Amino acid sequence: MDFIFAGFDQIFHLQNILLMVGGLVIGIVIGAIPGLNVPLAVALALPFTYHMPPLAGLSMLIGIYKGGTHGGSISAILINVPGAPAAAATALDGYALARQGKAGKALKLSIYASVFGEIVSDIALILLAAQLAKIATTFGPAEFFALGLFALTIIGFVSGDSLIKGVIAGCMGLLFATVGMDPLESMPRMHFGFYELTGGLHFIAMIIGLFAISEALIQIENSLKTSASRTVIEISKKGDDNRVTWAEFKMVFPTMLRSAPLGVFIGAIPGIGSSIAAFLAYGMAKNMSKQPEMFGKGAIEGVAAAESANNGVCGATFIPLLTLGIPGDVITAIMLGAFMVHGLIPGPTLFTEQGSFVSAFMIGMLITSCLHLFVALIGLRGFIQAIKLKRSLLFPIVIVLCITGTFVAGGGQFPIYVMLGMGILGYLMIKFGFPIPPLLIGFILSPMIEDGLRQALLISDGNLDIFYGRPIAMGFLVMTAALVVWITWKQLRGQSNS
Amino acid sequence: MRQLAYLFSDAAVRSVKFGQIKRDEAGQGLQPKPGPANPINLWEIDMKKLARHSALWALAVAAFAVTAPLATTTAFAAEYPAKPVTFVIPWPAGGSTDITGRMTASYMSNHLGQAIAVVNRVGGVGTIATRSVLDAPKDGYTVLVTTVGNHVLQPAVRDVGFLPGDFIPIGQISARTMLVVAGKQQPYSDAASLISYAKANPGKATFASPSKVLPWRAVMKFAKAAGIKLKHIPAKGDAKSLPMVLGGHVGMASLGDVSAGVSHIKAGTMNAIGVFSAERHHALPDTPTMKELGFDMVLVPWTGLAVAKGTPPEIIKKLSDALKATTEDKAFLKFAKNSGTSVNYLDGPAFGKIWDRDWNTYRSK
Repeated sequence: MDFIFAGFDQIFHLQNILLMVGGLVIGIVIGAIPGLNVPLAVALALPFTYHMPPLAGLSMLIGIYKGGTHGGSISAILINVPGAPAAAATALDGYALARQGKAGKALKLSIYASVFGEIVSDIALILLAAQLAKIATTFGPAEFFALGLFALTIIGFVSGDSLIKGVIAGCMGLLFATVGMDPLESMPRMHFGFYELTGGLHFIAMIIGLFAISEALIQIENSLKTSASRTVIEISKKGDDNRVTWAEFKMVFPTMLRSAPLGVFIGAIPGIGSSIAAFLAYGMAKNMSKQPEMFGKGAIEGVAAAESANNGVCGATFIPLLTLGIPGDVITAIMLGAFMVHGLIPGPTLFTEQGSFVSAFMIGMLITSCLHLFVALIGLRGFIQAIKLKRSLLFPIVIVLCITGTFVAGGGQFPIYVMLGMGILGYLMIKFGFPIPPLLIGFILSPMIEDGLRQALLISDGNLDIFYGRPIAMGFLVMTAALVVWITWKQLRGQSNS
Repeated sequence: MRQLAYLFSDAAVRSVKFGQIKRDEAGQGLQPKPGPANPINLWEIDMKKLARHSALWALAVAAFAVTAPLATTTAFAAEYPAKPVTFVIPWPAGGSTDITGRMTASYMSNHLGQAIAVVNRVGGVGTIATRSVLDAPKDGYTVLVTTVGNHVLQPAVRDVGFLPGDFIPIGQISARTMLVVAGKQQPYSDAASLISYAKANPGKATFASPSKVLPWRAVMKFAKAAGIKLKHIPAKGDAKSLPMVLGGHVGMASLGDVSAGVSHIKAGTMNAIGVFSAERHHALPDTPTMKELGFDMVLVPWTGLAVAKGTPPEIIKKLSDALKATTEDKAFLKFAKNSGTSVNYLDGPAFGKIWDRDWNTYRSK
C-alpha cells in the first residue's frame, strides 16, 4: 500500500488539477455533442501532451476520457442520439424518461451512476491490477469466441417488441463488420471495388449515421406534422421529476453495485469495450428486475446499469495498459502515445522503475472521478437550456455537426457517404420497427467472434477440443445455450398468451 | 505557442478541405456552367437554394463559402509553402509511426516556415491513406509519412492501386528494430532451443503477428533459413499478440518495434529470441541479432516522408532541405531520444534505393 502514497506530492499540483477539470469539460461537451466523439478528442489533444510533463498531459487525457464516456449519455437522454456508442444503451430508457418530462432525473442519475462506476473502477485499478491482469491473459482465442457469442445474447434483451426483427438487425451488424480487411489474412473483402471500403465501414461514421442522422430524419418528419410540439421534449416543472429521490436511489443502488464490477471485468480484458459492458449490464438489470416490462419505457435501473457499467470500464482499461503494456480499448491505445513519447514504457517494469509515477497516475484517476461529479452537475444546467431550442433549429445543427465530425474523424469524404447511407438505413429500420441497438452489438462483436473462432481453430489444427477442454470458454458456451433456450421459450410463451 | 499555432493550422487545413468539397459538389451539381468555381457565385447559389430553410443552414454554408477562396488559391512553386502543409499518417494516433510523424511535423514547421497539420487516415493496412495522397493535388501540400508496410510490402503482395514508384522520396526519418519474443512457459527460451524444439516437433511452435506485414515476413524468412516449421497465428497487432503470448495461447510474438517487448523481457515474463536489425538494440544489450545467430538477414522497418510523383522539383528541394535541417535539430534529437525513436536520416535518393531494395526483397517469394 505504501507505494500509493509516494505519488501524492506529484499529482497535487494546481496545474494537474486544472488540466483534469479542463479535460472533463472538453470530454463532457465533446461527448454530449452528436457527431463529435471521444477517441477523436483524445487524438486531437494528444499532440499537446507531447510537450507537457507526462502527468500533466495524462491528467488532461483522463479527464477527456472519463468526461466523454459519460457525456455521450447527455444527448442520448435529451434527444435520443447517443453521443458515444457506449451511451446507446442509456438512450433506451433515458430518452423514454425524458419524454415523460423527467430529463433532469435521468441526467442526474446518469451522473451519479457514471461517477460511481468510475470510482469502483479506479479502486479496482489501485488494489486489484495485478490479479485482474492475470485473469485477462487467461482469455485466449477460444475464450474470446465464447464470450463474444455469449454477449450476442444481449440482443434478446434490447430487441423491443419483436425478437425476430432484433435478430435480423443483429445479423446485419455481423455482416457489415465483415466489410474491409480479412482480419487474419490481411486481404480485402466485400469492398465492391471501392478502395475506401478496404478499411471497412468506418465505425464512427456508421454510429453517427445509424443513431444521429436517423433520429434527425425522424424529428424532421415529426416537425412537418403540425401537431408535434416545437421542442423535442418538455421539462417537467415538478421538483421530484428533476432529481433522484432517496427512495429511487436506494432502489437502483443494487443495480449499480452489480453493473460497475461488470464494467471493471470487461475493461480489464483488452479489446471488448464499454459499449458491450453497457449492454451486458442493461440485459442483466432487465433480467433481475422486478418489473422487466418497464425496460425501454423509462426504467431508472436501465439508465443506472448502462452508465455505471460503461464508466466502470474507464479505469479498468488501464489495468492491461499499465501492467502488461497492452491497451484495453481504442482510447487507451491513443493514450499509449502520451506514455511512450516521454519514454515511459507501460508494462511490468513500469511499477518497479516508475513506482511513484504510477501511483500519482492512479491517484489522479481517483481525483478526476471526484471532480467529475461537480463538473457534470454544474454543466447540467447548460444542457437543459440547450434542449429548449426549437426542433427546427436543433436538428439542423446536429446534422451539420455530424457531417463535420465524420469528416474529421474519417479523414475524408467517403465516410460522409457511409454516414448518410447508414442514416437512411437507420430511418427505414425505425419506420419498419427494427431496433437499432442489435445492429451495433452485432457490428462490435463480429470481429471478436470471427478472430476468436479462426485463431482457436488454427491453434488446434481444426480440433474442437480447444473449446471443450477450457472451463471459461465452456462456461460461456453453456450459458449462451441456456440463455438462447430461455429467451426463445419466453418469446413463444408471450406469443401464445397474446 | 507552438502547440497553439499547430491547433489552428490543423483546423485551418481541415476547413480548406471542406471548401474543396463544397466547390466540387457545386461544380457537378448546382453550378450550370463547368469551370473553376467562383466562391462568390457559390455563395449566391447556395443562399438562394437554402434561403427557405433556417438561418443556421445559411450560417453553415457561409462558413464553407468563406473558406472556399482559400481552396482556390493557386499555389505556385516559387512561393511554396504559402499555406499550411498536411502530413498524412497511415497508422492510428498514438502508435510509433504517429509519434515519429507528429514529432517531425512539430519541429519541421520551424524549418519549413509554415505550420504542418497532421491527419491520421487509418485502414486497409495503411494503403487507403497512401492512395489518398496520390489523389490529392501534386503541389507539395500533402506529404505522406510512409512506412515499409504500407509503401512497399502491401503493393508487393497484392494490387492496392499504387506502386512504390508512384511517389518521390523526400528522406528517411527513422529506422526501427523488430523483435521476436517467446512466452516464459514455452519449452524454448532462445534461438538455439527454439530450433531444436521445432525440429523435434514440426509445426508445434506458434507465433502471432499480423498477416503480410514485415514482422510476419521476417519470422517466415528466419524459419526458412533455419529449416524449421513454425505455425503462424494471425493477430491484428502487437496489442492482440502480446496477451496471447502472456497467457500461453501462442508460443511467440513477432513485434514491429522493441518498445512493446522491452518491459516484459526485463521483468522476465517473456524471453527474447532475437532482433532483426544490423546491430543490437541499446535497450536490450543481451539480445542477439539474427546475423550473430548465423542468419544473414537484416530487416528494418523504416519511416520517412514521400510526395506524389509529379510534384515540382523546387518544392521537393524545399521539403528535403527542411527535413534534413529537422533531423539535425538538437531539440528534435533530444525529443526523439526520450521517446525511444532511433533517428536515422537518409536523403531522398538514398531513401529511394531502400525502396528498391525492399521491393526486390518482398517481390521474391
